[in-house]
Amino acid sequence: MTESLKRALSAKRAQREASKKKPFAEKLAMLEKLRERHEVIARSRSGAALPKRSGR
Amino acid sequence: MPLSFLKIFSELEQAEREGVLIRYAVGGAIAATYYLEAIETEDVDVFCVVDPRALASLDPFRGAYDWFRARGATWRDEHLVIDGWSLHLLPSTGPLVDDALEHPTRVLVDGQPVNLLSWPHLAAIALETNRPKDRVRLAMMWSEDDFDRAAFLSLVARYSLSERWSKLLPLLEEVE
Repeated sequence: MTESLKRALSAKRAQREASKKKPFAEKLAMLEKLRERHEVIARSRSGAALPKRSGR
Repeated sequence: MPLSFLKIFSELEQAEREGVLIRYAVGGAIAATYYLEAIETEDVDVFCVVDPRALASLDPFRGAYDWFRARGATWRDEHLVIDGWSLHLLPSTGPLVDDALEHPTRVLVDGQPVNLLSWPHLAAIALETNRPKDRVRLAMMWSEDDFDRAAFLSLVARYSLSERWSKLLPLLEEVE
């Protein structure tokens, strides 16, 4: 394994460790943002109108 | 916590209080997110027990679906949708899930209670389901220092998963 790959894997592992320690509510907020992003992409691809933001 | 999850969790609690769901526990990626890092998903998988009388009907979840829809959930592609999240109500598939539903992990998120599958049960159900994504998730859980391996192995033995586990373990140890 090359040094750069080792460093990349180590950085990824550190990122995972940091993410794991976040409170559940914060992790759910991350999932919500990802879902909203996917929804926007799906709607733009289908040509449908974007939903109004609910203020969340 | 996002309002969507606050709503979903409070609706599940209310459904249980009103007897629409006799028992429930959130599983899948949402439960895994509690024990691990955030795992991307668009679904909220909920294992649940409904009134035994409803089990005799062709669609035992019909009453539950109607209850959620009457309270604002919508219906898309044969499942409920609450605030953009697909809510999958899943029946018990056997004794392991029955046991999981009897021993959920009760979690308080920003003051809102919710039942999640316990970590050993979530892992054992992943082993039982055994799709590629379940094996990946199981590998992640198995590698965690605070994962209760003894409790998991006890479920593996109790629910006849030892043979499957003995085939998978060498692969997981290779990854470790």
